[in-house]
Amino acid sequence: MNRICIAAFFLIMSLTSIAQMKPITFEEYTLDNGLDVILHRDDSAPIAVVSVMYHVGSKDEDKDKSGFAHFFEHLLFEGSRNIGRGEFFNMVEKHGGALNANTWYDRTYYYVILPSHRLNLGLWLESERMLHAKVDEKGVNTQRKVVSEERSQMYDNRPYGTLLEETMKRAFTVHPYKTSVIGNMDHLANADTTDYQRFYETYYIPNNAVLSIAGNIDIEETKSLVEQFFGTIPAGKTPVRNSVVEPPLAGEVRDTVYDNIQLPAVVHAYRTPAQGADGYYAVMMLSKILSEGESSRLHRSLVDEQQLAVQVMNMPLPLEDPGVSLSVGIANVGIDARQLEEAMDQEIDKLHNELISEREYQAVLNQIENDMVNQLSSVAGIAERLANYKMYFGDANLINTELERYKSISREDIRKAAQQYFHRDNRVALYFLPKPQ
Amino acid sequence: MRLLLILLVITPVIFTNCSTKKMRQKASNEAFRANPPSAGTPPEINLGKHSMFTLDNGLKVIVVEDKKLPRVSMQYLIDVPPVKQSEYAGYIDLTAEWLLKGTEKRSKTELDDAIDFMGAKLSSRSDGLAASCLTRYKEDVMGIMAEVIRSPKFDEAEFNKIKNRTQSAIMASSSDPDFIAGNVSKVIRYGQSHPYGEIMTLHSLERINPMICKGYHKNYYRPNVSYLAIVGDITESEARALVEQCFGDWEPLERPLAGPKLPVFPDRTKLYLVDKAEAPQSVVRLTYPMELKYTANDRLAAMVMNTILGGFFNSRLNLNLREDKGYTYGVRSGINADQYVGYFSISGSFGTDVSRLVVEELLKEMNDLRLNKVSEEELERARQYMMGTFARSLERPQTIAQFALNQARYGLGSDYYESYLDRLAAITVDDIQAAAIKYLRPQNASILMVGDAERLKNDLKDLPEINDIVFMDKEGNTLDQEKYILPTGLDGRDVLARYIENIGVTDSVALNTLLIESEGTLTDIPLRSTSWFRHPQTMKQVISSQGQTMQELLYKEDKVIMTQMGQVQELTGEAATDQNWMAYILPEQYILGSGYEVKLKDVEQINGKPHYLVEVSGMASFPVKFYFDVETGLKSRMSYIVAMGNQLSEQQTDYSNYREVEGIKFPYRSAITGQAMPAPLILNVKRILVNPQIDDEVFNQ
Repeated sequence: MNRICIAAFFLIMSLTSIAQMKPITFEEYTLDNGLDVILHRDDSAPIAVVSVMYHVGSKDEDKDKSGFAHFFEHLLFEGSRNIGRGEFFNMVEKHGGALNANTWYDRTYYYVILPSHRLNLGLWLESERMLHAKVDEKGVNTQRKVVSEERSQMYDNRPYGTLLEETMKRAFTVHPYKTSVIGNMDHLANADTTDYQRFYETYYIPNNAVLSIAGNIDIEETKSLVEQFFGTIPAGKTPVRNSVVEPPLAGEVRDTVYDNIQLPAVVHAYRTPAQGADGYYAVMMLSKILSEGESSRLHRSLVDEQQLAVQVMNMPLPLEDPGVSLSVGIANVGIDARQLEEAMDQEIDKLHNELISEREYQAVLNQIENDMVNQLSSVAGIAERLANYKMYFGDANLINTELERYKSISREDIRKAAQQYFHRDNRVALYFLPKPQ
Repeated sequence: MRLLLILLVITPVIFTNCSTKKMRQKASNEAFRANPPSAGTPPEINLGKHSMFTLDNGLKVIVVEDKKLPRVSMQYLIDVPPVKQSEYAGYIDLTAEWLLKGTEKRSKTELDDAIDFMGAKLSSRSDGLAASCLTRYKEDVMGIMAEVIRSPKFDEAEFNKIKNRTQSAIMASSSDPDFIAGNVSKVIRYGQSHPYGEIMTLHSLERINPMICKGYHKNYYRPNVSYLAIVGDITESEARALVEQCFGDWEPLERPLAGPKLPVFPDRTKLYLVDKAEAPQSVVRLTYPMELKYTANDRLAAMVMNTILGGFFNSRLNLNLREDKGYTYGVRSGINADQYVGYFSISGSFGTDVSRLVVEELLKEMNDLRLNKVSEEELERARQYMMGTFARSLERPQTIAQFALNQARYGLGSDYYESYLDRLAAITVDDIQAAAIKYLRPQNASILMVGDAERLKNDLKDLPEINDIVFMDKEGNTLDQEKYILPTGLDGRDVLARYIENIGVTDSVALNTLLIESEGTLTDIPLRSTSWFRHPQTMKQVISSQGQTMQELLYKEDKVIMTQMGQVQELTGEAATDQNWMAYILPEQYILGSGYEVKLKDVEQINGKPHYLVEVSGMASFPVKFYFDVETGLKSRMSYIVAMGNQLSEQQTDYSNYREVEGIKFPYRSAITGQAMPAPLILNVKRILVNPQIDDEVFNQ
């Protein structure tokens, strides 16, 4: 029945370009059931990537089910009505493919990379996952243990492994960003079949997803395969989002965490605008100024000149609701946290008071251009960028034009953003200190 | 019907859950979905082209042109046998780092500014440098790379900065179990006398001086032992002109180069334990060295065998330990060829409580591949996976450069990669078993575990496959095992008596009263603690902050009275008995004179040193644990249960920094940690008075 309505698809051919680079061409349309589809052809290697980005992440979990979105991602490899337990990985790998998935605060992303003549297998697998995923008791119990080991390995048994978790829980009071994506293992133990069913029906629906395909593909043939595998999957109710608005921090939040570490770390998490919002690009550029390369300000001053830190970095988290930009410094032997923190603050103060130099400004633009080129080095990377731009910005063509947005930010804008966001009353200041022996 | 369909299409959001279900059901039942779709025609796999030329000075250059993206990457590689660094381990890494700290023409600041301005990357490691940049900067970046390689400034102030920072970096990593496992497994695999088994430590770092580094640079950074691979948006002739300009007049230096001797291969399977107390997981490496050259006839069979064992998600190890048992987030194995000596390794992190089962399963899976042939289907799956991996790797133009580099360095033959897929197709199940028999050595493996060594030792001690358990420190030095075996003829009371003697308490030097004043912090709040003791069992402790009393504890007769922020709580009966042993000036002396059960339970590791664990039962409703340093006889730790309100809570006090006051040794530092505490409480003693006059009033409520 959907065949009749093909005219309802809307198509976009992208032709805009950024300086020096061949633009990424792609076709973009939406199926009747609301599934956004993006197709990019690149014949340089005999491979194709099929990816689905679902607009669901840890921020959509129930409060008492933290970690559920990520756990659910594990479960969605367990099988489907037509795919037995363990067969998901098996079918991909025995055809020479690779697959994985990841979960973030805002979205969950699945991808399969296959030899290009097995494109249809990738589409079939992802349609099975979207249409009728299935998980049995054994799968649930095993994955619960696997996720618990994942948590130990990536967070608890690793120095500074809980840094982001500890920071976010202080940076947000009501917004779900306050809980980590990996979540609470006790909560997972309490999740049951009803929870799985509800989560699946609410979020794993075509009208809450972007299907992004890239590689050695024939566009027309791919379109008809997409229609075959995904066209009849019914849309669901548009998910109702938890629209919690986090109030501004009422002054600096300061705390200390003791961990199995040897050297103190200082974390400053400044509250920053949502992705794409006013001020966002300036915050991204501030990050480069602060810590990209040896000549960046934090690095030069703290690591090189003053030798206070063994490592410094600033990382803005890409989030669709207002988020944070984290500055982290790990102190050199014999340097205490307070000393390091003062030096970090001095660099921030300079950004408040003086414009960055013309040369620094140009360097930042060069660095961003370089990053953007590097993100296009694999079809898997391109598929993910396209899906990302579509889901968060509603404009996949930003893959070609986003650099222009950066170029429109002035040195004054950058100073303004530093003044507006990088100040004490708008941050969490956290000391990570060695647990006493 | 038709109308309805259109409506549905336009406004899908009005679907009720029920009709969605029906539609889902309908879609679910579509016949084509039941089975995976069949394959199309496989695409041809074409290996990209490269060109290679050698400069007059011997520098070998590989160029892969790829116009897809406006960028160029460059890799400079020194191809010399590994050099033994002995007690200066790490100087080759330091040399590489020092190169980036300025050249004869540019200070470090100028160099960093230039690289960062272009948005380029430049990095170094022990065997060379790598750079990448946008096409428009390729000349500048290669020029800088040549300067860095050929004429570094070698500024000594920068050298000292590198040393300081490296020291911090080693310390920062020293609580990372993966880092520890990486280091120690190298030492175990090759031995400390093999260049591959050398690791940089704080001690070796300390010894490294500028002379050694400059010497290494002078001798080994030379065109005649080097490769330069250039990949990306550049033609061969552009590359040739650029390389000639930047490196053409670089002087070669011929010197004899000898490869290392083979390491000692393990004659049996041993378990190596590195302690990371209370770690929730053990980081496991099962490894051993073996002879496997790149040119070995059965190398490809060995690689397929390894894929089946632990080389992909569907490998036996991962399916067994992750997907069936849920013991790990992932486990992998690797079989690695090398010009001098290759190695095998299995790695993963596993829950502490399943360590024994993990070791059993690892050995079982290795044995199984040796004893039984794999099925054709299993072989085919691994083969297809490897073919796909090969095809996927070709997406990166750097792969072609890597292939060319491998062919040149290892003498792989010109059709090695062209014939790869055909050779892979020809591997049989017999080849797999032969490779397993030859390369899997469950009887001659070293199994390293970084985790809670005490638990691991107990859990793993009678495994039939394990011949020895060796304790190691974080740098792979063997700890004296003898010290971890319970001595015969020593009991718990002996250990307590020895402690009392060692701190200097004798019949003539007795403790009747005692005053201890300490200072500390709890989550940034400064605290002061004063404790008064009177023999036999009266004690008062006052904890205050900035002049305000926060908590008072009074142990008197059979009562414990706790005053916290004005609230008084009195414990009596069992709750009081559970705690009032703490009121003794020397609980150990009191225990010796009592009828309580005193057991020497074990020798455990604390801060890398063996400690006797003495457990006392009967004194409280739970056993109280004391830990005494085997060497010094001093008490390092006490662990017990305390009542916090209605909750029982585990608490532990660590003692250190013993100092003598009037002939008796006291710990000047104690760290108290507990389940109910927000953070550790560290107390440093400011004053101790032995046998002072104490006013009776002190002990009044």
